[in-house]
Amino acid sequence: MGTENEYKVVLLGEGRVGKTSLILRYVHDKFNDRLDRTVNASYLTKTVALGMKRVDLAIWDTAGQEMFHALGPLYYRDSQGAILVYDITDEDSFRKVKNWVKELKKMLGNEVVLVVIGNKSDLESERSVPLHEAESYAKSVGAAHFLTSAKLNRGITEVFLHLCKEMIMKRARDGARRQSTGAGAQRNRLQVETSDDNAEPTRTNKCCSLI
Amino acid sequence: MNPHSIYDNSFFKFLQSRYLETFLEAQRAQWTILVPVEGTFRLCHVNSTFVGFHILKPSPLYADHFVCHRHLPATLVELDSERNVLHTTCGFPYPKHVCIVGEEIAYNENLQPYRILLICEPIHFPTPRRRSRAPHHAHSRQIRRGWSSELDPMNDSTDTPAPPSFEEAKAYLHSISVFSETLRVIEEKVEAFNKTYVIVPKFISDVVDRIRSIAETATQVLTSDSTSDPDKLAICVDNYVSGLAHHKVFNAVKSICGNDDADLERRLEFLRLSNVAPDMLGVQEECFHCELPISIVELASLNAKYTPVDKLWCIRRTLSSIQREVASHFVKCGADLEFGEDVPSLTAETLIPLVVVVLARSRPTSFSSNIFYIDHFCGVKDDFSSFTLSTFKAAVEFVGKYRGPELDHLSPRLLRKELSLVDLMEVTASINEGSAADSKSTAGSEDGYHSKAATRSNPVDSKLEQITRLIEKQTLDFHSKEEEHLRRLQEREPRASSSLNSSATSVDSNEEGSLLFSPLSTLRRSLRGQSKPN
Repeated sequence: MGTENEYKVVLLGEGRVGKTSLILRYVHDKFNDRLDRTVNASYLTKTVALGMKRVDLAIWDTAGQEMFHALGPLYYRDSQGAILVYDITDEDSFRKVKNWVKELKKMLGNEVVLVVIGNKSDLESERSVPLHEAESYAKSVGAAHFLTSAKLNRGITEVFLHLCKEMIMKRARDGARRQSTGAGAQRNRLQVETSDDNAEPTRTNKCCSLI
Repeated sequence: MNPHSIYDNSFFKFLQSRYLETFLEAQRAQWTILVPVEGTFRLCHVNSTFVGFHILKPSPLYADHFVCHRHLPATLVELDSERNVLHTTCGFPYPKHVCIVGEEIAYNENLQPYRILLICEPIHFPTPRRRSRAPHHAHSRQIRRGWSSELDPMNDSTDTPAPPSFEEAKAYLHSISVFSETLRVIEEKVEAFNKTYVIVPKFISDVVDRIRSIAETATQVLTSDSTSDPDKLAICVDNYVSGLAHHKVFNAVKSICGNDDADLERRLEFLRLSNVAPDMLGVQEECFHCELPISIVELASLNAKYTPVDKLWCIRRTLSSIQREVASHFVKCGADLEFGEDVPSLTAETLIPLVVVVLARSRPTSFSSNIFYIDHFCGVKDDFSSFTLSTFKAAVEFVGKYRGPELDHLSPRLLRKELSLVDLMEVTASINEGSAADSKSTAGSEDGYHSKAATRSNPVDSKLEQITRLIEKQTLDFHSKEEEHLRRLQEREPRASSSLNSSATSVDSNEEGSLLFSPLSTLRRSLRGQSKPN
């Protein structure tokens, strides 16, 4: 990503779970003409003001169909946040989320902030994925769990707000860690230089030495 | 700068700097902030009263009623949520209706939400109003549609100005006389690189570093030499240096990606010959089945670009064109009316196949090399550029992995570079079998369905057959017309009749297969022979 305010977020999940509806709901609010929604649901941007901070989100929607699964790495590479969406009425979609989490953990490690979303919460009566199971799974992989309904515009802004917060904190933590490691390295280097300066030059008969 | 971006808006920025306290107060109290579209006001008009008019506190009476911020207690603004309009009622010199272009939800330091509404013009000018020179009508037109490029990322992205192309960068750098000496040194350095550097495929990153190092050093020198904008200068130098080294580097990249290129080209040719259409690649919605001529032409120019940045912008423009053409088709075919609220979106599932269609029809050579070149030599890419690159990579992967029924049944000959004698015989036999099956089925047997299947199973060959039949038919038509014409000539030119008879006889005596023989040319020859002096 270009600047420190920019964050890449990727949406993953099986086809028909409502990924596109979610981001369209989030990005195109009620004051925006529906005609604009006909195009470009695969890449959307949204700026969020958090206090005096500005967060520029680039949201990449991925193709959920199985035939596109292999293209996933092209999309989630370099992302700071991943939203894994399942349909609460479709158990198989929850299994797919688990696969995506495995893959993300394997490829990106802990570099990415994960959020698991149970979408279509308006269809609670048809639920087939137990809530406690989804929540405990999310917790076990270090992800937050949310219930959303793109249809009723429920719970979506909370997801992105949480994600923004976590990504900002993570970037700050990583920055601080890098700085401290950098400072540590700098300290070490200076110590070596100091000791070199003070030390007597070692004499060796060898013409080449690794030291 | 995007005029519809709240966060780039000069009023909003002014609010966060000059009127920070008021802004923070509004944030904490979760009041609504109105931001007029850029260009509809002048910053010199922005004073505390103007700010006061544009911060709305909720009215205690109704949910959709607001009062303006302090100093203005008697004002009342009504929000018409259905029509996206704000009506100024009490406390304003005259009632006004202001369209809402967009809405953003922002959060204060306690992460409580508040609204920012982008409005088409200020709700009130405290000073005598002087219209700015901004293209207000254009805004109004967009606003009537409720259009907001702030929230339309592709518009935003495509509106981003492209960096200077290689030619432009070259012209710009050479137009500044103080640069001439440095430019000469740069050219020498790049020439030395072109002549002496050996590119090792596994160490391509070293090539990237070399070129970058030349560009960076040159930028440093040129920046110190002039007062030009350093960012623009850096972009120009980078593009110029890349352009100078293009032939060497790109040829090396082509040799690295040669196999991928060849494979992709064969597959794309395969798709092109089978007249691949979006529906064949899984695009369900008919409203997305459209021709994409602008995108095809744009992508076809890819190999005419001489730097990775120019190539990147070429594919960026292609992607944006696809989206624009689809949007335009969508409106033209009335799909927005047809679908009502359930408007289908152009998702990745749809976009990738459309890119594949454009790839197949624009027939780009060395496309994998181009992608590799852009990916490795383009430096830092903004997010839309990364998205574009990923989408094209995904399309290439899609082509490589696509196993559609239509393609499976196509003749395999195009998938191989050269055909062996055995292969050739096999393919010929299969064509013969196919035509035999065709002739059987056309003979009126019950196998109408099978004949269709056979035709469908080998569309390239059937297409070729159709073309051959068409040529034969047209040649016959042409021949009969010429004969008719000759007959008329014969009547008019009694002298030429004897030679014509002989030529006509020769035509008649020919077999039907030699239809391309032109009697008219024979006549011309004979006439020419007669006109020669004895």
